Formats: sequence, structure tokens, C-alpha cells
Amino acid sequence: MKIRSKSLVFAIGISLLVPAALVSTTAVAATTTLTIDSWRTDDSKIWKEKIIPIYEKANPGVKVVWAPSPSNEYDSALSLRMKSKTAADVVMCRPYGLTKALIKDKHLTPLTGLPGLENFTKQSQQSWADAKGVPFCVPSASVGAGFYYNKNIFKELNLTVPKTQAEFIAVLEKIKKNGKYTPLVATGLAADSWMLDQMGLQLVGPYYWKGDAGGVALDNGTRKVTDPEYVAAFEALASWKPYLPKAFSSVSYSDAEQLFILGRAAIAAEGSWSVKEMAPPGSNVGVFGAPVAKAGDKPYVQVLADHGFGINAASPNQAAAKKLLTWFTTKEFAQIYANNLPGFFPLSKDKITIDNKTAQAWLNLRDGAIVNAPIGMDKMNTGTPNWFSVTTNLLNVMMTTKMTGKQAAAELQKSLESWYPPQKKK
Amino acid sequence: MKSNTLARRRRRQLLLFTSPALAFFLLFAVFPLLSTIYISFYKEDVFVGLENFVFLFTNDEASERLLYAFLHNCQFFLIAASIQLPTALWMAALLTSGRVRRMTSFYRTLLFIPTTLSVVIVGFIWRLIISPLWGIVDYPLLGEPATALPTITLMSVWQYLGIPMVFLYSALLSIPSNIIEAAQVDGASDLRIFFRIKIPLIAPQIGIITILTFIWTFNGFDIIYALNGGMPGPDYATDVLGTLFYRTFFGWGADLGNQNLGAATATVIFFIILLGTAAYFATVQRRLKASQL
Repeated sequence: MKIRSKSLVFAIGISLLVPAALVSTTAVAATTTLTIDSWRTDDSKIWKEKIIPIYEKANPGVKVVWAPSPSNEYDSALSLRMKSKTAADVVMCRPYGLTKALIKDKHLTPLTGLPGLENFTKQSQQSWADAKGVPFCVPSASVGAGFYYNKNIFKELNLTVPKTQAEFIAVLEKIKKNGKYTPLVATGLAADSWMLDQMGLQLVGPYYWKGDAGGVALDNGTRKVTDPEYVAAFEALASWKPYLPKAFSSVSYSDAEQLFILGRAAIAAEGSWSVKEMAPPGSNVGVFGAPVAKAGDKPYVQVLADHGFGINAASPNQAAAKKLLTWFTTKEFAQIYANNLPGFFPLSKDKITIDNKTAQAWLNLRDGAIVNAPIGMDKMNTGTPNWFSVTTNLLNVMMTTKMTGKQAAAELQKSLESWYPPQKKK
Repeated sequence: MKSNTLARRRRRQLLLFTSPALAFFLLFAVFPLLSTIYISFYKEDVFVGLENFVFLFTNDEASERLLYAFLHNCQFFLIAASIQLPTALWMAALLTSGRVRRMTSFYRTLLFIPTTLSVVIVGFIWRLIISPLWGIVDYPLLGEPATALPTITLMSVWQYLGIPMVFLYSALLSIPSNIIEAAQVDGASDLRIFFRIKIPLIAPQIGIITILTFIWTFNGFDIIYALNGGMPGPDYATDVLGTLFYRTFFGWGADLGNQNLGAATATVIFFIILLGTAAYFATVQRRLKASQL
């Protein structure tokens, strides 16, 4: 009897809870709630305290919820949620891979005719458009790769910022001869080898393979990785080898950052996104871009569309989501975003002023330079073994062993020929 | 007639008492296992038979990764078993020898503490200790293909030493003292007693620990993932079946993950462990039991 009364209480409890839950959902339905899924968990504070309140104030009746997932779980979690129709209304778009797969499976709403989208270049939209060029995400931030340098060390050793490859090597040689500092830091630990691609090969390479044209030539199969312009890029990266920290194969990304921040290294191959860590207030840090072969040549600067925002096709709040995305295209949003997340640069054509000096220095690298995106990330990443995995692994091996740039390029070509149709041997 | 109803009632009681455990086992072990095997026969909702398995074993890239992951697992197991087991036995023997006296429980706790730590913390601490930049070793142990896997294995051995130690410790304690006393009366030395009497008596436990180590190492994933991510380098030198499965199923970097191929990988791992364990029980463990009292 006792047990029965307990279960009766339980049943009554449940029956009371169910209508309560229903009531609470209907209460919320009076205003529209938009959830945003993202992998930028680090930015939660800025979204919750700065960005969202501004939008909610201007748009009464709309509640925006920032609900990010951890970065390395984001891709699989999002694709599963999309399949089971439980994803957020607005989702952050990765460039290429995941987003292209979501577009293919019709999980994203096409954004044709979204007001404000004309504010962006075609180039900034290509990483989240379908084969016909229909855009699916509003581009919101780009990043770039380059070098940070410690101005104090440069002054102490009487060095000037290098412009050409020869000057670059000369500077590194001088720091090495002096013996007090590690000339250049990069990442040698295999787990972080993505860094050798994005802030290594893709940083120095565009000058040799002539930017985006070099990527297209590989995509179409008109050029091979073993052609001189690509081998030269691999060799330019391999020329760093004598100047890297000791026991390089165990240097992780955070080790490399620490060496530079502590003033034990003079130059760091890095990305604009780490402005806050690498150049904290009070530090004396400058930025320079990839060296060119001959003085007077036009430099190339990498601009990687890092993230954008798209709409879940299964969301019931399409109109409200479109309105939010329209706001993401405005200069107002770009200005807030750029200043709260230094090192992430808006992709719109509006002129934005940035308060952070080092972040502004990153943006200045683009003046008079040829802007380009990393190569290989789109078509050559869609098969097995994909471009990114093979390249990062090869670069890691090349930088930590005696492998030459020519050998690495040959291995990469062999892997592409094994599956990628335009590169297959005829 | 009466005994018949009694037997029936007992059978019903048996079913009643085992049903909660049985339900959990079916729901959380048997069902996922069978559904994994089921998924591995499909390719995006289309039945393809053994195609995923054929791909795993014949595609150049995939079969090479599978083979190396398997060999790395064997290396992981051999190093773990040949170092962890003797060390654990040695520690257990010291703890039961009476030499540490009142400190027994202190040492027992001390040796068991690493087991309770999170793998992420263990990996992080050891990485700092052996870092050539901040630590005490002037050699990139984790960065060189030849030393990376043994180094990670030793971290794991250090962490989980407590489990086989406690197993063997309780086995040693349960040896009847009259046997030891009889041996002492016969004039056997301590070493002789240990090798000729104690070890044969705890041989079944040693066998069980070996097979558990086999299962743990072939299911090994966490410390390698915590240290080296889903594409464990250098140049895949620390890639094991667990990380290969993770990479295939969930994706890593630019790989988006292939649930069907991942399920096929998991099925292969399952059969490797199943066959290994079955072979072991059929050959070694049966003979070990014969020497029990």
C-alpha cells in the first residue's frame, strides 16, 4: 500500500508538471526566441553582455540566446542536430567542409536577396555558397596569418623588418648568431600541425603560386603540386628549419606562444586571432607579412573567411532569423564585432576603425597587397585522404625530419593522384 | 509434484532477481553492439553488405592505417603488460611482506591515487614534466616517432598501476597462512616461497589481469586523444584503433566523419578483442586454473 501511494504521488506530480511545461512554452511563444549555435565559446561574454543586448533593445519582442558548443565537438554535434531537426535557429558557419555538406543536404536556408548581403565581396561568400553561387551564410569575420615580432629584441640587435626572403633569412641568422633568443617560433608537435599549414605553407606560399590562381590551377588539375611554384613554397617553409626552437618536434602551439610572450623568441609565425595573447597592452610587438623573393614585388596577404552565420532550414522562426542576419550585415554590427574581438576582421566593404593598434597593424598588411584565400580547402578536401590531413601531416614531418620540400610536395601529389579526379594520372 | 512447483518458483525468482541487471546489460551493451554491427552494413541508409569492410581492408590508405593502428595497439599492450604487471606484483609483494608494517595502508593509498586522477590531468602534467622547454628531459620524447608511443604507454602504466596492484595485493592476502608456515618449517627461503608457492597460487589472478590489460589497451583512446588529438602524430606514430575509430566515425579536421565506416571499424575492433580474449581463455587461463588449490 505504501509503495502504491508513492507511485500515486509520482503520477500526480507528473500530471501537474506536464501542463506547467506547456504553459511555460506558450508564455515564451508571445516573444520570439532565437538561439545561436557557435563554436566560439571564448566569446560568450562579449555576445551576452555587448552584442545581444544592443539587438534586443532595438527589436522588442525578440529574445536572442547564445548557446555555443565546444569547438572540437561542434562539427559532429551540428550535423547530428541538423539531421534530427533539433539545431539552433541561427548557426555559425565554418568555411567550406561542414557548411558545404549542410548546404548539400538542404539544412540551411538560401539567403538570396537578403538585404545587406550586397555589402560583401563575392570572394568572401564563396566559402559558404553552393556550386551556383547562391549564398547561405552572412560572412562575419576573417582572419589572416603573418609574423609577430618583438620590437625590443629587434632594437637590441639592431634589426629591421625584413621584406624579402633573403632579408628574412639574414635577420634570422643574426638572431641565431647572437645566441640569446630563439629566432623564430612555430609549432612542431603533430597534434597542432594545422598551424604549419595555415601559418606556414599558406602564409609564405601564395607569393610563389600567385594566390588564388594557384589554388584554382590545382583544383582543375592544370598544375601539379610537384610543379616549381608549389615546390618553391614548400622550400620557403623548409628554410625556417635551422631557426626554430630546440626539440622542435615537441613544441606545441601554446609552447610556441609562451616562448614569444615571455620574450625568449624574436619572431612568431602566427595568426591575427591571437592579438590579445601575443600583444597584450603594454607589450612592444609589431606585425609583418610574408616575405617576397625580389625587392619591389607585390606582397600577398592571406585572408581566411573564418566564420559566418546561416539559418537552420528547419527553424520555425525564419523571418526573425533573417532579420537578425540582416543586422549582422550592417556597419554597426561590424564595428562592435571588430572592436570586441580584435584580430577578427569584418568582411563587409564598410570602412571600419579598429581601436586595438596591433589588430589595426594586421589590417594594414592588406594595403597594397594582393589578398588571397588558403588553397586546397574546398574541392580537394572532399575525399579520402583529404588535402588538409595529408598536408598538415607532411608539413609536420618535413619540419621535424630531414625531409625536403621537394619530397613533401611529391608525397602530397601522390596522395591527390590516388583519388582526386582532376589530378588522377591519365 | 511439490518439488516441481518449488523448482518453478525458484526459476521465477531467479528471473526476477537477474532481470534488472539483464535489462541494463541488454539495453546498454548488447543493443548498441548489435546496432553498431547493423549500421556497418549500410552506406547512407542503403544496404551494401560487406562493402565497408572490403574498403577498410583493401583501400591503400585505410588498410595501412588499420594495420598500423593494430600494430601500435600490440606495442601498447606488450609494453603495458611487461612493465605494469611485474611492477604491480612487486609492489603488492612488498605491501604484504610485512616490511612496511604500519605504513601499509599509506603506501597502498599513495600507489592508488594516480588511478583516481583524470586522464587529461595526467597527460598534461607528464607533458610538462618531460617538455624540453619547461621540464626536465632534454629530448623531445613525444615528438619523435620512435619514443612517442612508449612514452604515452608509460604514462598510462604509471596512472593505472594501482588497479593490478590492488588485485594482486588481495590475492596475496588470501593465501592461507598455514601453507606458508608449513613451507617455512620445511626450511624454504622467502624467495623460494614467493616464486614456488605464492606465484603459482595467484597465477589465475595474474592471468585475469593480463587479459584485462589486453582489453584496456585495445580499447585505449583517452590518454592518446588527450595528448595528441584525433590524428595522433608524429606521422600517425601514436594512432591506435580507438583513435582511428574516433577519426573515422566523428571526423577530425577537414574529415567530416563517416558513421557507417566508423561502425565497421568498431566492429573490427570488437572482433579483435573477442578473438584475443577467447584464444587466451581457451589456451592459457584454463591451464592456470588447474594449479589452483
